[in-house]
Amino acid sequence: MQANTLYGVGLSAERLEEFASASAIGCGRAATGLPADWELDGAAVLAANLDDESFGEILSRGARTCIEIGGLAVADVAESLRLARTSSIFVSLTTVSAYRFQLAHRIVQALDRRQPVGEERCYDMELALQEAISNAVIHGNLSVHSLENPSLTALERFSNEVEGRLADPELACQRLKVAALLGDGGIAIDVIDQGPGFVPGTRKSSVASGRGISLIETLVSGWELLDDGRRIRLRFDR
Amino acid sequence: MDYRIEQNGAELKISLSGRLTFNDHGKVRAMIQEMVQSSANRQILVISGLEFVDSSGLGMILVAREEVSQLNKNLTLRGAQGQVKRVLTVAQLGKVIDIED
Repeated sequence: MQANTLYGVGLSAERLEEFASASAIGCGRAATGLPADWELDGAAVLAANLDDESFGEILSRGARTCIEIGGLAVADVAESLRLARTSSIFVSLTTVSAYRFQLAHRIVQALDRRQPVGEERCYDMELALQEAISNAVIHGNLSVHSLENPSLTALERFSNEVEGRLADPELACQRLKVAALLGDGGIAIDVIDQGPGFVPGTRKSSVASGRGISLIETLVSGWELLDDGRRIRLRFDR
Repeated sequence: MDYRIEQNGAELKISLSGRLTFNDHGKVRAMIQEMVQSSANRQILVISGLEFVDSSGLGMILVAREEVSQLNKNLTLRGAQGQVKRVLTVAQLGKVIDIED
């Protein structure tokens, strides 16, 4: 029985036990890498030194929750696990991982395995989620502005700014969470960041940027901003 | 995203593969520099091998178009499939760049 059990990848059994007991969740196994024989149906996974491939594998083995430790205290993990209980899929990553991983793709694949929606719907969900995640990472947690104009100079400035912020340990460790809920009426996906909060209409757009929100509007059944612009909720009706 | 460039006379073919998203700016900058330095007048971005593109990816394609057209060269997108084809349509990119099948 994996549901409501916490597994550890990249951390010791003792450390996992510490997190599990503080979170009032069953303690499963711990391993350095992800063992080939682990089935994770409905389980929660706490991971250290996570890479994109292992992250994808954790979700595709059926884990419901994946939390990257990345500097989180025991109490933070307990709080995340509490939030995760009301979600069909819950992911909490550092900004650096959310930036590097194929996060939107992997989440949509996992949702489609639970409740198949068809290829075209997956494209739309993945793109809308990708836009929400890139806004949350770039403009939210990293607080980098869009390209001012479609030039190589502007792209270089953008690149340097992003790399510079990612190299700042404080910004890189901020959290990016995705909480998805499969319901009878459809799917709701929340993307949560720790940035200054998005206020619509305040970002400059140019021919090379500013398409994200209008794309989201075209692709979803509804969307709303919550928590002072730090949480965007995308809804996809059945 | 990965890219491969081949020049044939006055034509430059840049073939993209994988996923073109907001974290690919480093590779795209290198790609655009190669495009700008090329003597070819007709440049074609072959995107049939591209699996996924987001709005930042589209923005970077438009940076390439802008830089190339400032040198009086022409850039065309060719061979979009699946999700990529759908995004080009939804974002109405055909209004700002030449697209062919």
